[in-house]
Amino acid sequence: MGCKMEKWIARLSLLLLLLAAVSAPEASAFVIYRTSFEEAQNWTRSRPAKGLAGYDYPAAWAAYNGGNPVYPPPRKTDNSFLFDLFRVGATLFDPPFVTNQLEIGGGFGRTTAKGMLYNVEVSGTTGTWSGGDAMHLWLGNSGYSDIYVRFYLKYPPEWTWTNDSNPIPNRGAYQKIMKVARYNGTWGDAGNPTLYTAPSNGGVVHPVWIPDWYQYISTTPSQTYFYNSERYSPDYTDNDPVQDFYSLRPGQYPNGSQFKWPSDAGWHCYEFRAKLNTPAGETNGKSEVWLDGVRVWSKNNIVWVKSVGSVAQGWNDVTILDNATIPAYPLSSHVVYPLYLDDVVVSTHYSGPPAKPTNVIAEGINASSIKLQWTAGNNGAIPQLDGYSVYYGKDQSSLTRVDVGNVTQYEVQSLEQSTQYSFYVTAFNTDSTDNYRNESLRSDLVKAVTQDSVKPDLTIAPVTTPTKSAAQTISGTVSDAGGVASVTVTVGEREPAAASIDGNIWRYSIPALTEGGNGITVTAKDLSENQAVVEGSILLDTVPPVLTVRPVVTPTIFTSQTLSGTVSDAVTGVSTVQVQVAGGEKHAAVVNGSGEWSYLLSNLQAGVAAQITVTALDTVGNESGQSSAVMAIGVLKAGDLSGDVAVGVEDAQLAMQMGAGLKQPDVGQLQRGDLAPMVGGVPHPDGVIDTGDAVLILGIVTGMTQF
Amino acid sequence: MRSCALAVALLSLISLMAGCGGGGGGTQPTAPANSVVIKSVGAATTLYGVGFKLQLPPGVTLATQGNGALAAGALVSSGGAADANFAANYDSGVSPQTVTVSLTKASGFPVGEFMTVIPVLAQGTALVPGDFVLSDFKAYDNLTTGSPAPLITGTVTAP
Repeated sequence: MGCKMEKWIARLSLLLLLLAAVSAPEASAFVIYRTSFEEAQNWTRSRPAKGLAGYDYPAAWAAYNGGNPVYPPPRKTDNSFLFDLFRVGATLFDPPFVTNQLEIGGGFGRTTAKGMLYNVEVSGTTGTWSGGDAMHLWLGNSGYSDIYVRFYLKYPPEWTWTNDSNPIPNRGAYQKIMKVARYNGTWGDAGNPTLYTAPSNGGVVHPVWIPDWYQYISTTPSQTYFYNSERYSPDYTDNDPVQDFYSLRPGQYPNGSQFKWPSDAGWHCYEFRAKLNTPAGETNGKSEVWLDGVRVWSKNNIVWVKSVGSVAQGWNDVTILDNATIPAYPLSSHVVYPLYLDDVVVSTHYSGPPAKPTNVIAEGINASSIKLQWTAGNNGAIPQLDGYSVYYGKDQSSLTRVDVGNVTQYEVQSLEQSTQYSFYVTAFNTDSTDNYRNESLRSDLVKAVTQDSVKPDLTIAPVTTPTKSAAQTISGTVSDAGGVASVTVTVGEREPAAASIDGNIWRYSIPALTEGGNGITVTAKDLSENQAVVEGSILLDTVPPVLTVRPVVTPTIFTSQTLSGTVSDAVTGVSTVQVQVAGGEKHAAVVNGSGEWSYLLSNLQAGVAAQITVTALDTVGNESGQSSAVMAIGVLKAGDLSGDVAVGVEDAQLAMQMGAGLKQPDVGQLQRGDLAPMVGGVPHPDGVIDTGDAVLILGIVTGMTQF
Repeated sequence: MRSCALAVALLSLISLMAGCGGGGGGTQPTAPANSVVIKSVGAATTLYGVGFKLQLPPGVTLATQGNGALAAGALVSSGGAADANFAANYDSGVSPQTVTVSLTKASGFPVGEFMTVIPVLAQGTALVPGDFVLSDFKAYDNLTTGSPAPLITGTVTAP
């Protein structure tokens, strides 16, 4: 920041404090430092070549050499320095794979505005650090006992902390997100403000709070933790608890145990609070962390400064982004991850997004308005709340935003009648001098319908009726501008059952229809309890027709015969009666309206017992399996007295012998040979075989007579 | 005891001999003086068969073979039915003696003489056609009905 006036003020304050022997003052709430990078000149900071010394304090300190450092930090457009110090370590790569460590320019910030690009070289092994400090801020000797550091970061989606496909057990990846520390002296004295880990580094930087990303892998998938590194004053003792964010806020990290975020290519707001304990040795120190306005870390009773130390100075040294060690790829892969930084604020109060609103209720109050009510969220901080935004629309993927002021209820008007709308509510602040507002996460989605007196549109697709299947799935369409609440189906006297709804299609599987008629009533309700009803019916018939067959004449001399009988079906009616001869093709019989059926059998073969099968089907295909008649008709050869299934003069001869009384016919011979007289082509057997029969047999032999 | 006689002469189709007698066929013989002929009587038509019973007068018998069957020539198809087939059942065990005849001819034969009976006369018996009793006479003129022609009758006459 390079603000000399501020430094003089700080030094004067420190002097006064020392004289008064009092603890560090609690400054009133104000912004200590801020940048949106819009006021910065474009800037590029390359890396030292591999193996060389880094660009570091004091050569990269803004005040070095009378304000002419060897490696100057970026400048504002007024040519003052944007911040006090940076630190760039030597690259791990050889050319041409070396990238700039830091850049400031357009397109690196939120949306298309200016921001800082921080390139992270993937070191390949745990413990090999790369990078350096992106921004180092000196807040003055006196510092601040309670400080908030807030900025936005964007990690690219390809960011991978560890190699889960080839894990090295018990290895981790680290990235120092920021550092809040106290430099127990004055910058420019003998101490190095960038060294803070041990007394051997000079013993001038303590206490120190360094929140890290920490990706630990023992088995896949690896886990991302918040690694909270604390170093206490004045002896550098430390405590490094680890916190799994997912277990703290599972609702915020829906990916479950595989913590994907923050590598989602989105900007996310990080805010850190460090509060010194006062007085020294008292257990009232504190640390807190918020991500996107959600407090994900809170630790109380921290003794940052032990009783043997001093709290005369507050936090006065802030570093944003520090080096990282990432083993996701081998060094030879030359992987570099870009990381983007914007809208940095150091303040004595919380400046990030408010907590998301809760208890959002939406209710249609008339045909064109829906009223929203909500409760301000609470994230443990006192928010800089400037108002709320309501997002609404019919399609929740395309919502309209309206800023409604600092209220907790709002009436969305000019909406369509009988229409369902979706709503989110967010809280925001804009007073942090960011170019873009700090907006909370969205509230839970709520839906409501403008006053609705229109019943749903409901149809039922044609059902299969009559049917012999007791199970049937019925379906139809349903739609309602305000949203469909339910579709229920009532079958006969049964209790209504819920249909499934997929889009505007409803479906219901009827498990068991009742024999006979089944009334179907489909009822759709919309979210306003408007109701539409459609009805149908299904006729179930599982009983086959009742079929009778009158006795056939067998054996017979005729090659044709009319079969007949009765057929009936009580439920759906008879479709057909079919006659099958000797397993051949089935032929339809004549069925009249009185339940009588008949079929003329013809071309029966003499000497063959023709197997006849009669089957009846009803209109749904039930087959009279139980009632089907199977019979055989034996056809005799007319005139065949000799029994050789042929008719010749010998048969006439036999007839004459019988007619003369020389031979007596047996029963079969009588059946086959007692033909005369023929009346109308039909034999009228007279009980004897005589000359008349012999004459007829001669007629058969000569072809004059046929059966 | 019954004796039977069957005269079988095949028509133009096939020759066949069967039964216990024979007869029929051949050149039209001249009826002997001690014979009677049986004729059908009625309107001219074509007959295909004739059946009847003939009751012999006392002292009149028919010649038989050793097995009781009619001897060849006792009955002979004659007239228009000269080559007709016939079967005859001669029952000599009853009195009066009868012979039952069934005669057919597929090609038909005209109304008129169709059979000649050459009996054996007992000593002192005169052959009187009128003493023969013809009964159950049926003549068939239709191959497709087998029904007797009601207006055709039969009669026994001298040759």
